[in-house]
Formats: sequence, structure tokens, C-alpha cells
Amino acid sequence: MKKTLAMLVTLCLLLSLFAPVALAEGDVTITFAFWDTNQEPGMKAIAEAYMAKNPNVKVETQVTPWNEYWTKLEAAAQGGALPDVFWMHSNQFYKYVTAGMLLDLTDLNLDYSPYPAGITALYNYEGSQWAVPKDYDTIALAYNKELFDKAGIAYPDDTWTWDTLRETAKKLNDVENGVYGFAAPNDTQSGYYNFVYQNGGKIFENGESGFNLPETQEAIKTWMNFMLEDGISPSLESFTDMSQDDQFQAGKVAMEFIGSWMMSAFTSNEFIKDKFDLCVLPQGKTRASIYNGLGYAGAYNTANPDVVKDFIAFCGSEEANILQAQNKAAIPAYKGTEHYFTDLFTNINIACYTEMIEYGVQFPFSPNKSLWEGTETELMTSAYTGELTVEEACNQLHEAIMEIEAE
Amino acid sequence: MSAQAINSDLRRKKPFRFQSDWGWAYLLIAPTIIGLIILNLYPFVETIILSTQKSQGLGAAKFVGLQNYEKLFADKQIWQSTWNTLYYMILTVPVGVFLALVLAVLLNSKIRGRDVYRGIYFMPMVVAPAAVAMVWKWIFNAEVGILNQFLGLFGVATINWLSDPNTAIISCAMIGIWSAVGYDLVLILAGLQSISTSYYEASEIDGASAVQRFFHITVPLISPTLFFVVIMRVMTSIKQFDTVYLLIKSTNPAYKKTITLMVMFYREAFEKFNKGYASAIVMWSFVIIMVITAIQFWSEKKLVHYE
Amino acid sequence: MTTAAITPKRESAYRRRGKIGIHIVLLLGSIIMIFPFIWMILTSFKTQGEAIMIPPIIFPANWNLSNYSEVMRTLPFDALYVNTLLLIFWRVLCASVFSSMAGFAFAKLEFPLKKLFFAIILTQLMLPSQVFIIPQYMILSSMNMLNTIFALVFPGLVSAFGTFFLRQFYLSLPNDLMEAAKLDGCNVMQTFIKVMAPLTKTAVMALAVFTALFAYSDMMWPLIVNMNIDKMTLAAGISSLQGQHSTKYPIMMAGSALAMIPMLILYIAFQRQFIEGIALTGTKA
Repeated sequence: MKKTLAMLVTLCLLLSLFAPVALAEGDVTITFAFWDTNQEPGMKAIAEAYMAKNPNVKVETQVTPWNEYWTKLEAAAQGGALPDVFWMHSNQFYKYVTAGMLLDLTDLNLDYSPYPAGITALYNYEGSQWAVPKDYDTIALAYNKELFDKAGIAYPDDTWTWDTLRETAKKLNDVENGVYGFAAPNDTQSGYYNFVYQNGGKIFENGESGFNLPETQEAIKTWMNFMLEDGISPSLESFTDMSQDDQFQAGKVAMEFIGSWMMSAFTSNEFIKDKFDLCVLPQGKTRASIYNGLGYAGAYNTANPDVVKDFIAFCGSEEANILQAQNKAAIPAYKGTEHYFTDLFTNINIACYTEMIEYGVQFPFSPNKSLWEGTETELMTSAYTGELTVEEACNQLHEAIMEIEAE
Repeated sequence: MSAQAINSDLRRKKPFRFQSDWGWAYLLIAPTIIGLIILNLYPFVETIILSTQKSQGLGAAKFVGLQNYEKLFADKQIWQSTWNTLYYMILTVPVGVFLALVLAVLLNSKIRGRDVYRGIYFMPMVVAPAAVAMVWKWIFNAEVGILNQFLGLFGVATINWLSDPNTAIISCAMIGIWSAVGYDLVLILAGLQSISTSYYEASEIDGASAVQRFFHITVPLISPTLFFVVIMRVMTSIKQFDTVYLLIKSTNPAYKKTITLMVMFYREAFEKFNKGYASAIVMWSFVIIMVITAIQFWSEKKLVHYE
Repeated sequence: MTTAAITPKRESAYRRRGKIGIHIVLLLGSIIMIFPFIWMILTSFKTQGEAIMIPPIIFPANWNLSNYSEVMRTLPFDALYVNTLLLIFWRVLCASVFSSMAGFAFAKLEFPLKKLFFAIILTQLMLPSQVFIIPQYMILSSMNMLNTIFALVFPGLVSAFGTFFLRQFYLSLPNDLMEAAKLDGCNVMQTFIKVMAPLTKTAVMALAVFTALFAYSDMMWPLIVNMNIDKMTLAAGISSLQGQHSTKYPIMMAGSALAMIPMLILYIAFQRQFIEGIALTGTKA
């Protein structure tokens, strides 16, 4: 008796070993992978809406944190096991498209006019379309109203320049109580890239790195000096223990650059939600705010290309864009649906995000950015710690990029 | 694996043999050997091949000869990471093993609640490393962490435990010691308990002090266990990955002076996508491990006392 | 393994004072060992605001469970528990059975190329496991076995350490037993199963504990091999709580506590087996 039972249990366990992901009741199951937990409700809503229309299809969502997402996707690409549908990012797009990993979406014949042209173009390669625009994001200046009120200083406005930013931050500095005026961390998209383009510099354009340009180096230097010379930003050490976003939310920095994707987290944080507001970025020689957009891509070797394409088309539809907006996921890419997102934020100046698209600069990317991104972070860290000067770090990075891109 | 075992191997008598029963033997080892060939040997060979190649993105790799190795030895960071790894080993092994030894000797002195103490010290071993890293990251937090707050009571200035280039690796080593001390303690205690009491009784009659007894009886008699513990610690510290990977990101100012060879390998392979260069790093670690293994064999003959 | 502790004949006053000293040292050590766990639990009941307050507060104002419900909403803990259990079960089973077979053969049988095969075992023990990740992944994907429990178990199907360890144990068993079995007409297989293997029960148990501990704490492999969160293990699942930007410590602590609980209960229930098992892996290997 005991033996039979043991055998039975073993048999069950044996089955568990080889059972694939729970078999769906529908005829077709497709997997849908992305990295942002904050956007999970939005993505699930889209998947559910699609399943309601197509009862024979089951869409399985998979969230993986940013770093692991790309590690995994790369392993999956090499192993021929990509998820059927997944988010694509400008940094990585080129690598996947040139390796033939993406499903050609050209024959969907979508109308791309509702999407920002820059983002459609981002995912267009050699005349074919490889991803459908999902959303866009820009960078704004967030400030803590309470700290401004306490210091009796007027809130930031669209007349601000780098100098106003520096001088105001100095006034807000209260180092004794651990409060800094501004956050200038080692960050690209919500960091020094904005300054570089406001200063007429470049990161990467037409096959050339822009890190050797004096404008670029000057901008990066100004950014780093906020911390190193002006003392208006917490130290690099401090950012490793608490990210700039956390420090802002804890009221330890009065201002920071912040991407629109953080808004759903900020407005649900009990401590900061009523204390902060947004403003367009201060200007340098010119105005600029880095924008970027994600896309929905499909796997080249999916078992169900027709279903995948149909699902991607649905993700790009007005209906799905409204769904992701209503779930506070991100600013939808589909023109005219932005207000579904902005309407959710009543007490902050969320509109500045959509305003800045006018002079927005596409987040720089290059065919091999994924190969030099890590080097960039490391070299910039060396510049922050004083191991290299800003010029040395930039020049070394310039050479590293040119070498990688030349191959 | 221990050198003790191999040594005892050399001294063992010829085993009993069933004549002409190769078939059985092969059948018995087949699953393990086939498994190891597929799971480990083939990947190892693959790594050697990869170390002579350069891969570009997701495309096919091309042969570049020893270029990766040239780059390796010219790379300042590889020497820094090698030093970091060895430094981590120097920090964790002597202190960790010494602490474990002291605690084991104390626990061996027939005191009340021995099992409770032993159970507490062993506890970190049953917690996933991700959880260990998270809780220590929280305790070490320079801004709001409890450790700095506590030390602040005694007037100690803020210490950037995990972001000061000089202390980050020490903090990681502290976590390493905290996690492993119970494990080492259990092994050493077992060794202590197998020492026959007659040695102590004899020395007591001779009037030896507790300290003399410790150095003249305890240490020699548990030297095989101690040696095994040291070797195991040396090997795991050279392969250190989890703690440093989870706690030290590339924007951390302490990054360069903290990352170990395995973390560097992982970042090159999976974050910078340089599989070829990453494989060369692995081969370099392999060389270091071989050298240390050789030292271990040599020192065992000199230092370890077998009964 | 013999457990002959030192038994002094009488306790002198000197000794008694010494014992108090020993207790003080051991207690201080215990506090250091146990504090992180207590801090984890306390933090897991605090709000984000309470957690980052300066000066810190030791106890939360309200013991609220919202962090637990939040983390259970983000991660499918039921699936993570089941997967971890299955992973441990299979790794332990495979390691015990295959390592017993091979350990016996290497200890008690003679066959051509024995040294070469043994060298293969040693290579695995020398190399860091990260080396194997990519090729192992490729093998699995060509078998079309990604995203399964099998994929989790895969790298642990055989155990070089287990083979080595059990071989040591078999070496210590007298050859007379083999002789006797042969005289009784047993072939090699019968000798192994009926005579020798039953004698290694404690060693196999020790290996089981050892394997279970390491399977439980393996983080990198499940993270890479299984795309789907409900095909992951506890160790890998909670590491995904460390998001890119926001670091919500109370929620992470709640997740860590939930991941820790099953192993901790097992450990408390079977403390003796755990510790003696581990001790055995040290004395024999």
C-alpha cells in the first residue's frame, strides 16, 4: 500500500518535470514579455481585451526586471526561444534586427500617422517596420514644493537656465539637515544627455561619437560639477545607497530630472504625491529634453506569426493605447489618446511632458550601443571619482565607441 | 573536494575487485559521467573555444586567436579584479575560519544550550543569498541604515559601507563571514568532538594549561578538518559572485575596487555581451584556481597532521 | 562519526567563571547572527516612511500586513513555493541515486580509464558554475525544454561533489563485505543494492541536506533559464524585487521573509539532521 502510494506520488512528480507551461485551453498561446512592473496592469489589460475578442488565443504576460530582461532576451535569442511578443528599446533594437531576430511587420500595413514620426522611424530598418510604437517619454524637472515654500523661493518656471538652476539649488541646500538642492547622478537619459543637447553637443550621430566635442564635454562637466564643485547634489556614494528618485521622494533633494515613466510610482507614494510638481527642463544654449519610445516587436521564429502580428496590431490600436493610458502605464504613442494618461494626474503639471516633445531630442542610439553602454557608465564613474578628468573619460569613451562601431 | 581525501586515497589498500565486471562498473558510472560530459566538460571546451573568438552582437563569432588574452593582460581592471578577488579571500578566510574555530572550541566546552547556539550560528545558511544581500544592503545603507544610526550614538561619523572604494569590499567580506561562519563552525565542531578525551586527560595530569592544550592537542588533531575548511573557503571566495553582484552596481564609485573576477566575467558576458573576452576571464580564473590547488597540495604535506 | 565530548570530572570555581565568560561571548555572537533576521521582520511591518525615518524607530506604529499583501500581489508565491519544492526534490533524488552508483563504482570496482573518468569529476569541482551557464542554456533550448521544471533541475542532474563524497564513504566500508556477498552468489548490482547501499544511509542523508541547501539558494540559473515568473524559484523570484529605480525596503523585506519561512521551518524541525548532515560532508569529503 505504502509502495503504491509512493509510486503514485513519484509518477505525479515525474509528470511535473516534463510538463510545459500550463497548457492553455485555447488553441494558441502566445507569450508577451516586458520589463516594467509599474506597467504590468496596463499590459495585462491589453492582453485581456485581446483575449476577450479572440477566445481561441491565450496571451501570457511575463515581467522581468530591466537588467535581467536583456540578459534573458539575449540568451533566448541565441537559443531560438524568444517570447512571441516583447517590448523593444532603442538601445537594443539594432542588435536584434541585424541578427534577424525580429518579425517583419511591414505587411501589417498599419497607418503610422497617429504615432510620433521619430519613434516609427526608430524601429524602421532597411525599409521595413520591425516594431509598432508603444509609448513615448520625456524628461522634466521635478521639484519639492514644501522645500521651496520653506526657503521662501519661487517655484521653477520656463524661464530657468542652468545658472538659475544652480543658484536656486544653492539656496535650497541645507547640508546640515541632509537636504540638497539638486540631484546630479551618473545617469544618461534623465541626466547629462539633456545637458549635452542643450549645449549643442552630441552623443552619437551618423556613425560618429560626439564625446570628443568640446560642447559635449563642457555640458558633462557642468553636470558633474553640480556635485563635485558647487556641492548642490548628494555624493555618488549617497546615490548608491538611495537612488535619486528615492532621495527626492524622501525629501532629501529639492529638485531632480525625472522621466514620465516614474509618474505612476510618484503619485501613489503617500509621502511625495501632494508635495511635488513638474516644470519643463531649464535651458542651456538651447532647449532640449531627451525623448524615447518603446515598441512592440515579435519573434522571427514564432510558431504563430499571424496571431502575433494581429496581437501587435491590436497593441498599437487606439483602443489598446487608451487601455495602457488608463492604467497609468505610460504616455501612449497614439495621437489623441495622451489625455487619457494626463487626465489621471490632476494636481501636477503633467502637461509639460507632452509640451516638451516639440523640442525633444531622440535618446541617442547606435548600431552597437548595447556593447558600449556599460563602458560609458564605468568611465563616467571614473570621472566622478576623480580618477580621470572629464576630458580624459570622454576622449577614452570616444575612442572605445569608434572602435566598437567600426567593426 | 579535499586533499585529505586524495591523500588517504594514496595510502589505501588496493580495493577488492570483482573480476571482469567492467560492464557493471560502466553501467554504474554512466549517468554521472555522461551527465558531467554534457553539463560540464562540453561547456568547458566550448568556453576555451569562445575565448579565441570575438562575437559581435547576436551574429556569428569570428576567430581572433589570442587577441582576447592580449587584451586581458593589458586591461588594468583585470589586475584590479584579480586583486579584489584575492583581497576578498584574504579578508574572509583567516578571519572567518579563526572565528569559527574559536566559537567551536567554546561550544565544545560542554555548556548549556549548545544546540541552540549552534542552530543560531548556522541559520544564515538556510536563507537565499538574494534575501541575505537585501537585508544587509538595508542595514549598511549609509543614509538611513541602522548600522550607521547605531554607530552615530557613539559619535562615529557616517560610513559609506557599500560605496566607499576602501570599505565596500570589507563590507562584502563581512557579509561573507556572517553567512559562512556557522557552516565552518559545524564542521570544526564535528572535528573537535571526534578527538578522544584521553589526550586531554593525559595532558591535564601533566599540568598543561588550557592555552597549551589548545595549541598542542586541539590544533594538531583537528588540522585535517581545519585544512578542509580552509580549502573550501578559499575555493568559494575565489568564485565569489552573489553578494558583490547584488550589492555593487556599475554606478557605484567603489565598483572598480570591489568587483571580483566572477562578477567581471558576468558583466562582460551578459551585460556588455563580450562572450569571447568573458571566456578569457574565466580561463584566467581557472589558472588562478589551479595555482592555488597546487599550493594546497604542497602545504598539506607540511602542515597537516594525520592521526 | 563518534561524538565523545570532553567530560571533566568536577567543576572548579575557575571553570564556572570561565563558563559565564563563554556564554557572554556566545550570546554576543548570537545577537550579531540573529539581528539581521529580526531587522528584516521588523522592517517588513513598517511603512516606507517609518523605514527611512531618522532617528530610526525600532517597532512599527502599526503592525500592518500591507507589505505582505503587496509583495504577494507582485509575485506568485504559491507557484514559487511549489517550484522550489520540486527543484529540491528532483535535485536531491538525482544526486543521491546517481552519485551512489558512481561513488560505489569508483570506490570498489576496477575498470579501464578509471582515472580519466575520475578526472572529469574533478574538473567540474574546480570550475566556477557561471562558466557553464550559456552552453547549458543552448542545450536545453535545442531540446525544447526551456520554461519547464526540468530546465530548473537540469544542471543538477548529476553531482560531482556527491560522487566524490559518497566514494569516500564507500572507501571506508570494509572489502570483506564485498567478499562475503560474492560468496553468497551476488553479482555486482546485487551487492551494491542489497549489501553496500543500505550502509550509506547517513551519508546519503547528508548529501541530501547539502544538495537541498544549494538548490534552494541557486539564483542565477532559474533567473536566466525560465522566462516565466511562475516557473521560477523563491531565490530567483525575490531577486526580481530589486527593481531598477525604486527601492521599497519594507516590501523587499516582506518578500525576503516569505522566501525564508519554508526553509526556516524545515530547518527548525530537522535541525539535528541538517547540522549533522553538513558535519558529515566535512569529515568525510
